[in-house]
Amino acid sequence: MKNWKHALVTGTGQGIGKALCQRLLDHDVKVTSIDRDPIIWTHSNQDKLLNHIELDLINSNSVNEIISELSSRKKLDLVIHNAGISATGKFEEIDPTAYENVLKLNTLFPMQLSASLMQNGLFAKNANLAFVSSLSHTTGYPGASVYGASKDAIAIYAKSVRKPFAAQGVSVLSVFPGPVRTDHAQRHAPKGADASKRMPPEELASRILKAASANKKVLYPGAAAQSARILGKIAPNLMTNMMRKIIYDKLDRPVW
Amino acid sequence: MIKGKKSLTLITGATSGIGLELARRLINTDDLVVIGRKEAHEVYAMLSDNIQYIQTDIANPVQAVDVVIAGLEKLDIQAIDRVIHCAGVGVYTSPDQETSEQIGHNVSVNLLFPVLLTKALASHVETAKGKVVLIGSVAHKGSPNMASYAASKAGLAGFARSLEAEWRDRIDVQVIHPGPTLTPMLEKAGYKVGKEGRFFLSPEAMAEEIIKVMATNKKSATIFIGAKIKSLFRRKQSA
Repeated sequence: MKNWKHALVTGTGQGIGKALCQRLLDHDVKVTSIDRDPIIWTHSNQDKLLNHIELDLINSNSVNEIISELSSRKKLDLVIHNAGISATGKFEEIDPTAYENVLKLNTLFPMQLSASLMQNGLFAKNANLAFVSSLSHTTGYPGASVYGASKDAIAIYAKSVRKPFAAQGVSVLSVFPGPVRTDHAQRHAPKGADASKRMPPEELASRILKAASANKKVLYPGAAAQSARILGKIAPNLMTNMMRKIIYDKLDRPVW
Repeated sequence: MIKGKKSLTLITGATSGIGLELARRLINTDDLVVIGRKEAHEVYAMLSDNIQYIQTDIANPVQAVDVVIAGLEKLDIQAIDRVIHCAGVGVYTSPDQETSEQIGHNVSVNLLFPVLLTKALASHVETAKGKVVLIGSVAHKGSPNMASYAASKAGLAGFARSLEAEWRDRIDVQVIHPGPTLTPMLEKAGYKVGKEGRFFLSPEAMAEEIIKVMATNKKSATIFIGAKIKSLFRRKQSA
């Protein structure tokens, strides 16, 4: 793993974000973690190295709060936009506020914070910036059209800023994970979906940090994600139809 | 209430650029409900007194959707044959210069408003067995100098792709990506048109092309004539 000094990770209360934090703490990296909830997990290094900010990133002032908090600290050499929420069900059955929140958290916040970190010179030299998009970027996602949209948007933002940010010493990684074994995935999955096939968050966290260490541009973690990427490219309609059968037709309830 | 047996089209962003040219053409065939921010008298002067106009600022998407729904109720409109989401904004600048306000404005207008309006009008469009048309951009594949704009249009394209699959047997969803067009949006975005402007389409020509595509069953289409001419021209030069 690269010799990072100060990382910022969002959505650290559980799942992938928690696994990322723990892995970074294992390697003595100072971590600024952000989540709307307090941290309830423990790590032997947390008193020494973890600075947790309890903040709801949907709140429009969250970017300013983070920038002012960071300006007195060491510059960041790793930023991972991991926080995300979904809204699954029939498009017209979901509350519009849920759509607003999905787009604010998954799309708007990572763009605003990334641009603000740049403007305020808060990245260290040779820093890494990672955006956790979704494997849904390779396909349509009937039953989560706005979540899919939010992840497409952030994937294209990452692609768009890659060159200009690289010119300023920030290497951008886009991550397209398939299903991960998290409470979040469980909540949104159709009933009876097989959780054992989902990637453990610890494994995904390791893969993300490995890819960022190597200044990789994109990461499709695991063989299943790589196959889906290829299928999405050569047969996008087939893939979207499969998603409809596997997910949309089996959704038994709206969840947001 | 709008009279006549013509089909009813609701269009956003019809007071400037491609949307205005679309509206000018659709007036001949459709009853129009126009959504925009400008004053009503300006819009009637640009288009016709024969349209219905609902004034609202879509930079505040949640309130704007409420205004549109209240406006439609007042007009006693329950069925809409076609909703065209044409309103769009963008900023042409390096991504490290984009302010939070600009990014927020792009996402609100280009993505959140179309999502919320599509949801709010779903039953109107289904009643008419109608169609939702989302105007995207060729930038949806990425653009270093319009990063959050490109992102918002990628979101719109992804939204269309998923919703089309979801609504397949109920409501048509189509996304159309115009290539570079000489619209006031470019100027507002801070883009200085240079020699490459020769290969951009005029809003009139783009509107003509969009109308042709809207008449087809294509789920997604890109109109990029300027680039096509450019590539032909280049090939000719190097030959």
